Amino acid sequence: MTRRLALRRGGTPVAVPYERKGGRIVLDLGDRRFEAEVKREGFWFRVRSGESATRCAVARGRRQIWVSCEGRTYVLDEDRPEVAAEGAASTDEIRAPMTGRVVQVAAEKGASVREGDLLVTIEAMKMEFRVTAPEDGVVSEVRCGAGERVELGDLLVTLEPEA
Amino acid sequence: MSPARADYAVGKPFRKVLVANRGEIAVRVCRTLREMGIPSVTVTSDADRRAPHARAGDESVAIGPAPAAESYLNASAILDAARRTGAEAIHPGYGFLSENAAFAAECRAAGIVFIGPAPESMERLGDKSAARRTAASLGVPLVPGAEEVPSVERAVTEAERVGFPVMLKASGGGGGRGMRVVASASEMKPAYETARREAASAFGNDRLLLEKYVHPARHVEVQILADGRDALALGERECSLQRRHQKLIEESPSAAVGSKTRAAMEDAAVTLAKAAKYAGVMTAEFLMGADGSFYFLEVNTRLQVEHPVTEMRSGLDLVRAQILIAAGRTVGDAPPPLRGHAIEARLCAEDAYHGFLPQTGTILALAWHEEEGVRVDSGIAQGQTLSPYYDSLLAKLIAHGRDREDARRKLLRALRGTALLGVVTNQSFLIDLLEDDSFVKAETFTHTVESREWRVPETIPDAALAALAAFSSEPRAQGGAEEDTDRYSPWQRLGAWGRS
Repeated sequence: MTRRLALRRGGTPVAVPYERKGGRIVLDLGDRRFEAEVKREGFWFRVRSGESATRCAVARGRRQIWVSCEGRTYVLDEDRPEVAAEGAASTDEIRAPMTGRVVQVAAEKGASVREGDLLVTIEAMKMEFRVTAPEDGVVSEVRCGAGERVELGDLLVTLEPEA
Repeated sequence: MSPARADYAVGKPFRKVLVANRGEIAVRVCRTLREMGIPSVTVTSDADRRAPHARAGDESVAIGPAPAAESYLNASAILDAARRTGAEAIHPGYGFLSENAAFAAECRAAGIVFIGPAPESMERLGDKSAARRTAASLGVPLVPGAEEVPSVERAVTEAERVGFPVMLKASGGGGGRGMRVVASASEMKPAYETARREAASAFGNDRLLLEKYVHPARHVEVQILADGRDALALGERECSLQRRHQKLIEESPSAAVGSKTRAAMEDAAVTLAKAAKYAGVMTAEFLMGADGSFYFLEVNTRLQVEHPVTEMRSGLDLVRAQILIAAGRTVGDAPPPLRGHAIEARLCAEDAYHGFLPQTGTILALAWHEEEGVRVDSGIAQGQTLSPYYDSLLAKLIAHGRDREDARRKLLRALRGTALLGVVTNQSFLIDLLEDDSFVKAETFTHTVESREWRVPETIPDAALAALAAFSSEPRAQGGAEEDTDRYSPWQRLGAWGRS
């Protein structure tokens, strides 16, 4: 399953798609891929890719995720549900605003929707979050199903402008 | 025989010593006391109750509220703590009360040994105006200037006499606080007022002096070990890489100091120490022009932050030497041989890429690099919350190598192997400095740091992204190193949601 980093650095999204297979991480960096064995030891992550090996420290603070590699530290904001929802408004990719369980999929492939129409309902910690269409359009893809777990930032539905 | 030699067999010079400081230096002084078998007492402000130095000694006494003026600068509270715990001596560290002659005199009056020079020596050398008079009378070269500038008008007159640009400095202390470069008469008033305020709050004394601003210049200082009669020079340290007159990188020897200049500088420093009948560790600071000429700047009548650089080269423990000298030992007449090259980097909680703004926060993860020839003097611990009340210095990383390049590479490895998460520090910037051409070529001047633009590393390395991906795809419950969080925040509760 392809996941995506839901982070930003200084307001710029760090939304790198990646796959995890056991201890193996494959990053999709657009023009290239980065494959590495990643092994955790406390807050250190040993990263081995081909001939090169290093280690990075990662920790989550109150509002940010910190990662340090080779003595340089990068501070990243976690994409908040409200930020993600805003982000979704400008694109046709509707992503999960939070981690949770899909309780209902209202969107149907090929169906026309109006701005504000319910697409997906996600539940987490007894809170329901209604993911609605940011604009009028046609549902071109449904990427989630009722009962499935989704991660923050996972693609749920894609919309296309009405023809 | 030198009292500082490791093989010097002595009984305990004091039954108990109180360390009147905080942070890395308090921890470091406690280490030597422990090695000497001397019980130690630390003091803490309310903000430092859980700081590492509170646990570094054998006992700890709370001395007052967070502001330094009410705690670490509170002489009566510190003397009271010494009396109550039965400490026979007080080690002042650096900063705070370390250069306060009145405090040294109070200690003496209370029958407690101040581990540092006699108040008379401090008055003669520690006060910058007095030190300049002493230096001038001994033929030590001085930067032209004025010892007293009691008003803005007087400062302008004196500046016009020696020629702009000039520097305003606090008469009563070092470390860069209370210092301002003034380029023209119109800038004098605001600079004068700021310098005075800083001097008053940092040293409790708002008197200023004025000097011609030598440019470009290197900062070179000589370490002295003296017993009131004899004085030994332990070579120089170059500390040119500074920001806002606060040192960032220090090294010994200086690549720019030739043997003739070194001998002349050491001679000047020894002359100053002997003239003041100085007992303890002392540093004479010089400004060195591009042509190798040097001018006496000031004397620091205390242990320097960068003293480990000299310790790494000489094999001496300067804190141990201070304690033994305070107990009446002599220094002998032969300085130890100095070996190899040592470089220190100061790790500070400040955003070097954005105006060196001081940073606070909670340390989420902390790991140091371990290697032969690498020393870390730290005053921080994982889980600690840094308060905004004190200096931003967190730790010093010092590397000793057979030559400058060996030490530089070792220090780079130490910095790259260090992880400190949760608080923005200058770690990445220190790497920039050590990797920079100017440092590699030893073309370092006091303006080098501030005359350049240093940019935040733009790209997050692939390995860091992979680590983030691995971290993000783990169940949060095993996220490790989590800060105390607001348990009522819905987003935090989301964070606690288990993932498969």
